Amino acid sequence: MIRHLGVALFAIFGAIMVSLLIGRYGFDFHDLMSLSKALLAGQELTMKQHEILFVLIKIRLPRIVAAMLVGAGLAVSGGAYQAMFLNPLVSPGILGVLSGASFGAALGIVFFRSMIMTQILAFCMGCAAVGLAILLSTLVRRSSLLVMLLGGMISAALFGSLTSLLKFLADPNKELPELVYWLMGSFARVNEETLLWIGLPIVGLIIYLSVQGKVANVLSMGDEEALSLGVAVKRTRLQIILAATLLSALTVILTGIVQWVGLVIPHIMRFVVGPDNRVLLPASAIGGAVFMLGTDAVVRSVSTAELPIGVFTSLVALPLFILSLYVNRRNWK
Amino acid sequence: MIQVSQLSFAYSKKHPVLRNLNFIIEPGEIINILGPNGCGKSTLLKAILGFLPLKRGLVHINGHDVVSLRPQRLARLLSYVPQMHNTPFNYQVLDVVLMGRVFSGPWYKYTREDHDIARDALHRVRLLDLASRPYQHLSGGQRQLVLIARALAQGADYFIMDEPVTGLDYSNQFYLLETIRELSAQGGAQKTGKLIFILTTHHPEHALFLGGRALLIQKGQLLADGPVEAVVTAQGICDLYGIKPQFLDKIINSYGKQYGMAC
Repeated sequence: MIRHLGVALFAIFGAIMVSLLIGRYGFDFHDLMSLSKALLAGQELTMKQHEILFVLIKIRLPRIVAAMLVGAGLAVSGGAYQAMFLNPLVSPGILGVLSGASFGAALGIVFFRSMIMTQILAFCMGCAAVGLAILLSTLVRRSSLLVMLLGGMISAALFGSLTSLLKFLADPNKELPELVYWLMGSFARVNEETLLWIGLPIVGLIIYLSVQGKVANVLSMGDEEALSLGVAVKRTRLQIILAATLLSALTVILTGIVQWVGLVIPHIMRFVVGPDNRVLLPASAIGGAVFMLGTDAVVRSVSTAELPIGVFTSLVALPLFILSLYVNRRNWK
Repeated sequence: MIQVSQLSFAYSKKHPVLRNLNFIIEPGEIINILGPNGCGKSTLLKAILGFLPLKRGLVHINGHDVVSLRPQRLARLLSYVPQMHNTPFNYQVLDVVLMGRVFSGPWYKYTREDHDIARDALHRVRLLDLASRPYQHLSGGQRQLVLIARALAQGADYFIMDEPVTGLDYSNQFYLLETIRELSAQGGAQKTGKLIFILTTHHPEHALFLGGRALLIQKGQLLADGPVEAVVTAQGICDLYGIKPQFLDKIINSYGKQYGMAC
C-alpha cells in the first residue's frame, strides 16, 4: 500500500515536472531551480525569471491542472462504471453522456455561438442523455443492468444522430470546423476561471469515487449477491453511476470530448495493481492523471500548433491497451 | 427461526410459482428442498432471502419480516451461497471472502477484525493456503467453498444455498456436502448458535447423505415435509418426480451392483 502510494506520487511528480518544462517558451530545469531558489529567498527576479513565472502560472499550470483533472476524472469514472455494470468493457460513454454532451455543444455552437452556453449545454445534455437511458430502463418491469445498457445505447444513438443533423445544418465555413474541433477535445480553451468553478466539484467527485472500492467490489458481483451481502443495491449502484456520470460531464466542460481514457486506463491499471476496486479506483485516478499529462506533453512537443488532445489520447492509449491485453491474456478466459 | 406462512408468489398473474406454503424452520436443522425443475425451489429461496416483492404471505426471520428488513440487518441473519459462478473481475480469494464483511465497520475499508474473521472462515473450509490466489483460477469445488467461507464470514446463522453441488465432480460433490455437515455440527463463526443450512438439490441421495429434514415441493406446493428418512423414500421420490417405481428400482439396482462389485 505504502509502496503503491510512493510510486504514484513519484509518477505524478515526474509527469508534472516534465509537463512544466515542455512547451513553446523554452527554459530548462536549471532555470526552474534558480527561479524557485530566488522565490524562496525572496530575491528580486530577473526579466527572464518574471517571464518564466508568468508562463508557468498563467499558461502551463492551468493546463497541467486541467489535464490531471480530466484524466483522473475520466479514468476513475470509467473504473466505477465497469464495476457497476459487471463488465470490464464498459466506458463512461456507455449511458450516452458523451453523445449527449456532443449534442449540447453542437446546440451551443450552432444556435448560441457562445462558449459559456456551449459548455453549459454540453454538461446539461450529457446529464439528460444519461437520464433518458435510466428512464428507458425503468420502462421494463424487474429491469436489469442489461436493460440500462440498452437504454444507454438508444440514448447515445438518438443524440448521435441529432449531433449529425446539427453538423449538417451548421455553417461549413465557421460553425462546422469549430464544432468538429470541439468534438476532438482540446486543452486550448482551459482558463483559470473555468478551472476554479469546475475544478472543485471534479476533485470532490474523484475523491468520492476513489473511496467506493469496498462497495464497488460487492456490487460487481451482481444485484442478488450484493443484496444478500448487505448492500442496499439499487440506491448505492445508482448513486455511484450518477457520480461517475456527473464527473464525465464536468470533464467535457473543460476539454470537450476525450475518448478512450475511461476505458483503457482502468484496464491498464487492473494489470498493474489487480482487480480489487479498493486499490484500482484510486490507482485509475492517478494513472489517468499521469496518462493525460504524458499525452499532453506529447501533443505539445510534436507540433507548435495546438493539436486536439482527443485524437492523441486514442493514438497513445490504444497501443498501451493492446499491450495490457497481451500481457494480461492469461486472465482472459 | 424462519416462519413461512401462507406464502404465494407469481412473476406474472397467470402463472403462480408458489402456492400457499406454510412451514417453520427451527435452529440446528438442515433443510433439503427437493422438487422437479420449475417447481419453485429457487423462487422459494429468493422469497426467504428477501429478493422478491411479496404480495401474499409472510416470511419472518427471528420475528422480522424479510421484505421490510434493511439489507444490512438481513445480511446478519441470512447468508446466501449462490451457484458456482464466474465473476467478470478476477478478485483474490481473500477479497471475495472479505465481501461477507461489507456491512460492518467503516464504509470505505475493512478493519483488522474483518480480516481476521475472513481468514478464520477460509481456515474452516481448509482453503487458507489459497487466500491470495485469484478466485477465477480455483477449481469449481474450491470456488464453492470460498463462497461458503464468505457466508461464514458474514456471521449469519442461516445459510441459503441454491443447488450447491451443481457443476462439481463426484468426489467434490460429497466433499462439499461433508463440509456442510461438519459446519452444521460445529455451529456459527462466533460459535454461539447452530448453523442452519437450507439448500435445494436435485439428488435425493445427497439429501439422505446430509440428513436432517426434507421439503418436497411440487408445482409450488408442499408435497411432503419431514425427516429425510421418512420423506425421501422410494414412494416419495416417485410421487415427486412422477416416475414409475420400476424405473427407480432399475436406477437403484444399477447403483447397487456397481458398489457391490467395488466393495
